[in-house]
Amino acid sequence: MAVTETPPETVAAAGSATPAATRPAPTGLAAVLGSGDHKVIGRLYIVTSLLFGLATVVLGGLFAFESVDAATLEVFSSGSVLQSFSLFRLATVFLVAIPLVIGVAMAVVPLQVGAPAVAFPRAAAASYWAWLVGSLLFIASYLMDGGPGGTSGSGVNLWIASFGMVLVAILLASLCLATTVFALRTSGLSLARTPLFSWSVAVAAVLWLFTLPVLVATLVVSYVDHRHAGGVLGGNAALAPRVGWALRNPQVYVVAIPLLGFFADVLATTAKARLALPGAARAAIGGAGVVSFGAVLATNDASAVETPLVIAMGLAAVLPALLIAGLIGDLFRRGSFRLTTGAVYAVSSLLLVLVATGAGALGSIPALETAGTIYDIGVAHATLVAAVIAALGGVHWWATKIGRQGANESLGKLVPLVLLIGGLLVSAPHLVSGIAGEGIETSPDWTGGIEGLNYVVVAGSVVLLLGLLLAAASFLPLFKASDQSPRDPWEGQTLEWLSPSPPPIGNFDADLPTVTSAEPLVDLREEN
Amino acid sequence: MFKTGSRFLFGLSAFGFVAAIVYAAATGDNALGMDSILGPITGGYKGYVGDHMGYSVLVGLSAAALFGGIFLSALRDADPEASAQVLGLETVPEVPAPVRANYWPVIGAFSLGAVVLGLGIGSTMFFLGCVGLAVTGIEWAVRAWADRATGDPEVNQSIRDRFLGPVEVPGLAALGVAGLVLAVSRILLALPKEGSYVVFGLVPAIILVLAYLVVSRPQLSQSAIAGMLLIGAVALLGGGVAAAIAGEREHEGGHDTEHETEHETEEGLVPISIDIPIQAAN
Repeated sequence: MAVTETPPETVAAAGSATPAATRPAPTGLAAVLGSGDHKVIGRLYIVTSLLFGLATVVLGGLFAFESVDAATLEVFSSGSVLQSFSLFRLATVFLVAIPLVIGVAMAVVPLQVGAPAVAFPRAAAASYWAWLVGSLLFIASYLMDGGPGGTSGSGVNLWIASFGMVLVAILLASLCLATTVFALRTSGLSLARTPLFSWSVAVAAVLWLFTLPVLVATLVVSYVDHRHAGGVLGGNAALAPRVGWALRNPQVYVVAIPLLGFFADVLATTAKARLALPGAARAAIGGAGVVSFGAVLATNDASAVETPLVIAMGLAAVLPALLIAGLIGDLFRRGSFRLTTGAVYAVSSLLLVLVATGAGALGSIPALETAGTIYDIGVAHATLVAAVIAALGGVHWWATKIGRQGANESLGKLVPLVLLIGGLLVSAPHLVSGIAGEGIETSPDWTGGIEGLNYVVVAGSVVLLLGLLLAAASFLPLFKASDQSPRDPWEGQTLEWLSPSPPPIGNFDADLPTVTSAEPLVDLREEN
Repeated sequence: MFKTGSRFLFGLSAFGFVAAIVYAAATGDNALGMDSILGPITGGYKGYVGDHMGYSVLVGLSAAALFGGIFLSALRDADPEASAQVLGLETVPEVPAPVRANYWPVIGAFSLGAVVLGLGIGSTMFFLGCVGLAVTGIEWAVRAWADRATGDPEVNQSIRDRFLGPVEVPGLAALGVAGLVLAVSRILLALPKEGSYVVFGLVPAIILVLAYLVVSRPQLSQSAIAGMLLIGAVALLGGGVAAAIAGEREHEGGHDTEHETEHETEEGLVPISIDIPIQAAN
């Protein structure tokens, strides 16, 4: 602990050190490989997860295409279908949705709480690189005929280990984000005044920190079991069911928690009004965390979904989203309305979250017998697409902070609507098929859903792919340098809009004012 | 004494424990009574516990939150004012933004990747990954310590170099020499006899000429020298790998190849190869 022995002259040196904002930043490859800047790390997460996202949507579309006529169409051989299907489902959560949300949070949260850096910046950088390497090894394990249903012992071992590495990387990123919100807030910014997006990210990060270690432990046990010929836990054949809880509600809702904060922050700014009952919004987001604690299903007991606790969690999951929707409705009743792209993204995502949690609540009623059916996939798809829409909305909304200038506005307004349609098309048929009792969740010879309805899923996949490509096109300006990027293009309410665009290393070029409310920039405008 | 973070976790812990009691008492087939309350409070030592799974999860949540709360209390939530008090500073120390490039996170990630790959395919990669992780851990820890030694990044850098330089320079030199010897030996063994004579004469000659150029021209930029070294290293490494793949030329004196083949086959085995029949997961 060298710091406790700091001599007086060092303290003076600390005081006179060059401000971080004016120090030269690393350039070239060093600016990517060696950077601990949270904005660079966030950008890396966003770009990589979007690339994985494009591939995953194509994979999902192929599954739906095969399911249109499973008897004659054979896109995936019967020997590899379970592997490809597990790759698709795990990738949507751990290679696309969670890292995309983490990327936006990594770039924005330190700015929102007035911190010059993310907590443990080097660990944050390590989290990205570990996630990237782990993800590539994870995909490679499938190419080695590994994964659930794989026949290569080495491939299956690599699948378990690389999946664990991906989870450890996500846990590391979660730790950095939660610590940033809890410990690096600027003067006067109490937790009760923390911007709702940052608060919701903290809740989600804590939930991942509480639940994903269960999955890591499961993988460790599975690895040991598999190395010993699967004598105790069933080896390879038992892998997919054992990790299934992480892909369904309520666990999958965790990725949607940051969306609630995003909705509230963006729509309050759009309405130019302070959120009424911010404490209620904070409680709703915290409540969403409680009902998303999916580790309760980390069991081989299929009847666990019918326990009172799980049923209650499923039913209650819709309430936080409804409460946030109500508060947003009140915002527009009191405030003014502007058609910002961020608002279109937020409303589109909110609608899909309501569909997902509403369907989840319906599905948790035991009498409908949807548990373990394709219905769960429908709920998960709606949740994950909502997360992707909101994360892309976050990139658009905070484009001047994440990139070098704002995103394309006219194209940007189209993207959430396309993605909303795509999200509904890929999730609704599964919900209908689940209610109708067609298709189990992890059918080994994939015949998921009602065949005719799978045409709709194929169309939805194409629309989703189109939406992602449009989003990528709308973000192209972010890569172009501009010296006219405004600090605050939306008349924002929170501290990130006080930083220059794009923000330098250290984030702020002047001392921040002491925060006295949840909307410090509104206070500043009122004072002036 | 208790800051917001620890209060939150203590609250969560209390909530988890109360919820566990209520849940354990409310579920199960036993009639509600003193035994239903005593059971969950005593962890099942006395009385009854209803649904074990939900109870375990809630108690686990409570215990984990309690641990986190105690941990955060001890650190006072990393509260900057508390840190300033410990340091004897009048003002709260600034949170430093990372300015210098640091490649250890990337190296650490790839080392972890090697460990993971080793867990899948073989022990050599696992061992290499562990070495990489150990080196990363030491380098990272020393650098993190040095970065907080003073407020001046230059001074911090020199402190770090003073600690690690005596280890890094000989270590890297040994690795470099070992790599050079290994790569050149592979090339010499792979080439035809006459070719190996040429390489044996040419490589030292090139090194000598380049070294003379570098010494005789002090104004040569560091980038140019680094570029030369990089090209040389890549050429050597590429040549060594290509030669290793091509294999050794046939030696006139004969060789006991039987033993080598047997050894390579053993090395090539994966630790455990399991081909189990795959059943439908449901």
